[in-house]
Amino acid sequence: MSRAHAAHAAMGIKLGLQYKFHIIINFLALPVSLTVFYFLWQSIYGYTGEAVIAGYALPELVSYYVLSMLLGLVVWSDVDAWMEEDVRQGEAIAKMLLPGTYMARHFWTEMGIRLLGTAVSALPIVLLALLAFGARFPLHSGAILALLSLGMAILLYFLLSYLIGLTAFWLKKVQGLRRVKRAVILFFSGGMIPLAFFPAWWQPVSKLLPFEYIRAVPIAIYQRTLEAQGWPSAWLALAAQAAWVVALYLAAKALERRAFRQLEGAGT
Amino acid sequence: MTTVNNQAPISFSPALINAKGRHPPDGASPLSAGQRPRRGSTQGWWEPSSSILSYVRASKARLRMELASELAYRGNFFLKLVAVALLDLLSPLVALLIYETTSGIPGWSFAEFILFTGTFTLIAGLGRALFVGIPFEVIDSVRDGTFDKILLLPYKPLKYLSFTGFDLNGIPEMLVGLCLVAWSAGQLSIGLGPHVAAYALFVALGVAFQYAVYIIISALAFLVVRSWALFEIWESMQKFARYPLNVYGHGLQIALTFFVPIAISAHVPAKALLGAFSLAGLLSVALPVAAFVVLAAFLWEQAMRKYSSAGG
Repeated sequence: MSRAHAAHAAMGIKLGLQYKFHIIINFLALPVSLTVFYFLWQSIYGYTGEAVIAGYALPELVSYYVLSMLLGLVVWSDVDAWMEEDVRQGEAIAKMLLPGTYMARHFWTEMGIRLLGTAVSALPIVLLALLAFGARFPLHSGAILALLSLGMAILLYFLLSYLIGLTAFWLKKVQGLRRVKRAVILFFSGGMIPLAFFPAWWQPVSKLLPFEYIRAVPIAIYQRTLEAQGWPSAWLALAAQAAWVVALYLAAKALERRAFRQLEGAGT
Repeated sequence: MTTVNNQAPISFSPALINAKGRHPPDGASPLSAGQRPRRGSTQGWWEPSSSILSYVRASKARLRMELASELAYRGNFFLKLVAVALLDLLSPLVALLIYETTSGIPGWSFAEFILFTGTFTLIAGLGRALFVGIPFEVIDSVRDGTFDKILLLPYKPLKYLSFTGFDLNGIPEMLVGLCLVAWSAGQLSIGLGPHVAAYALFVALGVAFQYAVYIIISALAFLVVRSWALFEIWESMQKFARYPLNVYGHGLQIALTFFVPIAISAHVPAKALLGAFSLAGLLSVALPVAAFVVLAAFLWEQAMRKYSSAGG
């Protein structure tokens, strides 16, 4: 990370402080989601009469959901919204003239915003899960690989959002595309329910798509449930994740060249 | 006040406000040449019109503006509608996965739970389609200091906001809800009968509750600067309504039925359509909803009294 990138991250933290009220709202709202999830699955487990469903006991499922919420906070990217605003406000060219690449600048600014939001919002969720709902977050060697996977998950979500943002150079308004992206990623990444609950025929299809690598794979590495999801080893899952990062990066760079080439600015 | 030939003052018709909200220029007669003033009319142009038709006309003008604005980017508009429908279909998909791998939610078969989910989506969609624009408009205009423009209109502010507080994004949500309810009603062989009338009544109560909450949030915008927080908190509270009451503990069930009657958002109407309703049940839900509506009206009145314009 260069000095320019560190400066962008610092700017992101300052931008995040402007949205501190949103962070406070997350502080209050996220525990509600966890509470509802716990009560729902507690009743389902009780009614089904089994201690383990789809490879998850209730405390493990609660841990999965907490990790999913935390990952959602960390990997979330609004770069598509920022880029849409750049294009519509006519600021895209001015931002291209700043030091560093357009993509890198947006990435490090977002990292600053995410760092602040996650640090504040994560604490109440983790405390509630540990104290009230019996969740478990053991420390083990797999956590290091999980962190590596988390880093790539951040890049994946950013690159997917960046690709959506680039379409703003042609479409001008991409709010609809952003919402579709959000819905698709939320569901197919295992954000609402673990992928182990999906039908057996979907499991190999899911491995060919990038969504599983945004949430399900980092969590599975940490919870050591990769084998149950059809991965023989963590290294294979990491390699597939890295392949998607490279593929999306190349696609983003190719689309970026075309987007910048067709952009016209009025200038002053 | 303008008079013509010493007759009664000319009534200022709200229909003269064109789609862009422009009033006729100062001093200009609102009547075209040759038109006679309305006989017996004593209502000055500055007094809020009480005709329901005038509010309907304002609503239509606002709808035309919204559509024109959205259709400027047609592809984006239709994609937004598709995205809303997709997001609403995620819950039934998750329900399908749950029922395929577990015994499901106690007391609810799959079709019954889809009826429940469809009812939640229908009521949320109706509330959003009809009234969600109210807090948006009020919070933004209070923050920007432009709420006076609503006070200066020849309408009662709350009535005007109620008629123009719609959001087109609520329409796909409403339609998805209706489709889910229709599908599940077919699966469960639910025919016509008093339970359908009870369902419609409870759905109306659910929408009334949403309306009351939006008014409360809007009223508090005059007292609390960052009242977007209240809107976000309401959105998160709605998550309790996404699942049947019987999954929660007894204390929460009571709180969600009588103190903050979120149960009206899905549980009670769905149960009514399945035949489980009574007069006592109706009253136990209607009274808290009515209390919220009264509270909303009271808070709005207090907010209007406390509001002072920044001028300019």
